[in-house]
Amino acid sequence: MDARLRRVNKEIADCKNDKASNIKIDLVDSSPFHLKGSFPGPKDTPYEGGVFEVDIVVPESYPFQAVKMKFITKVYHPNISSASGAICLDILKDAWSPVLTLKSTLISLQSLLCSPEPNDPQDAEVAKHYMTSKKSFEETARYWTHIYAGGLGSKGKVDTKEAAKDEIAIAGLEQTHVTQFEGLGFERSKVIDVLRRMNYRGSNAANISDERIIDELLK
Amino acid sequence: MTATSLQDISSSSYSDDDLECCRELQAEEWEVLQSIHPTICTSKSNGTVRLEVPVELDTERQIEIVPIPHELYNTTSGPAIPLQPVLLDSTAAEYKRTCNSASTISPISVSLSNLPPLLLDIILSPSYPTHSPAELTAIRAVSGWVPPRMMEEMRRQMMEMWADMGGDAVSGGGTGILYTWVEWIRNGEFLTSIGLAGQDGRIGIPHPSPALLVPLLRAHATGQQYKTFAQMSYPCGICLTSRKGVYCLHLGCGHVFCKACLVEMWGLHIREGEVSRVGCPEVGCESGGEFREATEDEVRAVLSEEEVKRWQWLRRKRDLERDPTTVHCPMEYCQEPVPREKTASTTEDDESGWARLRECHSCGYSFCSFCKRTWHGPHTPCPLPVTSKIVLAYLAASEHERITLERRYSRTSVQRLVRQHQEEEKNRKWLESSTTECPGCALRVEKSMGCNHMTCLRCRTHFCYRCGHKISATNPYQHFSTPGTSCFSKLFDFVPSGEDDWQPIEAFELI
Repeated sequence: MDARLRRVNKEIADCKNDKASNIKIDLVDSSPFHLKGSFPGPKDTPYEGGVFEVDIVVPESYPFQAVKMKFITKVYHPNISSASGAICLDILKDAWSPVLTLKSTLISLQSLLCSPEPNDPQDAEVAKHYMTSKKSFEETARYWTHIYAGGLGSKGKVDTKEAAKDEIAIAGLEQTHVTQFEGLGFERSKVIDVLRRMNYRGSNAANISDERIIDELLK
Repeated sequence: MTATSLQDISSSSYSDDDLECCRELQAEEWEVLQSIHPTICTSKSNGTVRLEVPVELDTERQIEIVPIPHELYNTTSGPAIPLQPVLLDSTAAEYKRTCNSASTISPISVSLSNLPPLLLDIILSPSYPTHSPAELTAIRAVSGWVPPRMMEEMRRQMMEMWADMGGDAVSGGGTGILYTWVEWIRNGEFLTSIGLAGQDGRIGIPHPSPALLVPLLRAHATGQQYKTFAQMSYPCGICLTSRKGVYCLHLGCGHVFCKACLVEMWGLHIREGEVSRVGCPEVGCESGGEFREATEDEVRAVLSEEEVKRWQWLRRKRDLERDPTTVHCPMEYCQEPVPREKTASTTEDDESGWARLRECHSCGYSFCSFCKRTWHGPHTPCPLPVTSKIVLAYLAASEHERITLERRYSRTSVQRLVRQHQEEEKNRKWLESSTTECPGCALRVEKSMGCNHMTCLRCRTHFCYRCGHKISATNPYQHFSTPGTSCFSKLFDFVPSGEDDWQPIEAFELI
């Protein structure tokens, strides 16, 4: 048995035995090198109550090369790409050390959720939202946690009216703003896209004139 | 007197019961001592016991090796040797006055926690321990670090200890004297008793030649430390198992890893040329604010001669490449980095053609650093790239003209040139489309995954993978969050595919 397999097996077993950390590592298929990690969202954060799943790929030269991780669960967080789930954490790149483990890396991801660093943003749009209005950002993050990371019930089918509202909430926008421009004859999805990109939220909405938005919508 | 004759005499004066009792007591004492200190009990045969007692001090102590004249060292009697270290200093001073070669005999200070063992030869007569004492026939210090006269003093004190324990009484109170002796020597208590250590804990050892004794003491202490290390178990943070010290390496920074893991880790990084990662694997282990790289001794302790050679070569290469004047030897099989010679002439007129000259130290090729061709002297300008002219002409030519060119330069050589040219062109195109050059050292990097903020492995420059510009090391993300710039919001190259944006990373498909 090669060293990598031995170590990964040991890590999976250690994680199973450690009930206190709440970190889970499971096999995805028969390969021990493609795993799925999961951990609960930290308390007193918009991620509380959610369970976050992480795709884990153990590269051939592990543990001398960093493990590859990305979020499977959608997360609204300035340091995680809201589009692909990619994480740009230093320990996943050049600061990796072979003494780090799958568990310790997942714990680092968990603590990343506790302490967003908007000055070190991965997802510039989410970071902008965070900077403009922390309250509104947290609302959106909580909403994402509810619909993407929540229990089974919240993932069930929703009617079309609900779905439309969801779309707006997912983008972290306000219903009234979207309907205002929708009323001018623009497609809802386009309105959401433009308002989201322009960070039309909270006090920032006053800084952006309707003409600029219409210009964008017409492009 | 030999052991047998001693036995003859003593056995005659005691009853068989007495002797039987003594035999049992002796066997028991030896057994106990052996189970406590298996390495100290060297041998026991025919009433003769040999002990090898190492001196193990609790902590590292400052030890001063004080020079004394040979005659003084070798005498076995007389009060001439001062027994207090304080006095040793004055003896040394006196000795210095009488000797001219003061420089070679000055005291040397070392800090050690182990001293070479003392060898004890002891005869246990048949009537020991109830009627006769254990007789110390010889006592000697390995490497002769205790002067003979002080060994005499030791022997005297050890016999006194026997008497103090009640060995003279018929009660047999001297039982266990071997253990008492061993402990007295092993924990260093005897140093104070015989005057080698002062009350303040300072140790002074008189020796005719400190310069010869010190390396012996050091070698012993290191060997002893290694022995202790080899016997202990250490958890290895890489394979997550506990290994015996003998299979581990104690790095200079204090961290311990098993050799098998270091072989893999360092071997891999050396194979892949990532010489900067050959170091302590511990998180945050730094020396001088930088990642702690392994020392030559550490690398040698783990890797093969061949790997050590490559490691040295990679390090040399890296150091040379930090020098912007370095170019690589154009010989295909060589590729050695060749920096500009640091001679006086290069500084006085940098403009002269000589600045272009490079001489490869590995293969001896002399070439021009501009055109990478054989050295063409300082005055002749670089020759025009004739071959590429032919190739370009050939590629642009019509069918008919090509035949003419093929006739002129020979068909095979023209086609060889064209093939070379096309290959180079492909390489260049691939480099341009799939890699970005580090703005700091021109190293080309290919991104496999992650964001566009890059840190050059070689020169640590922070740059943007999209546009190749240097970005601030302290606030690298500003580059991606300044509206209006071409890289705004492009920290991740994400092309929305519409259907299912949330794709697993590419590598998953490879498994």
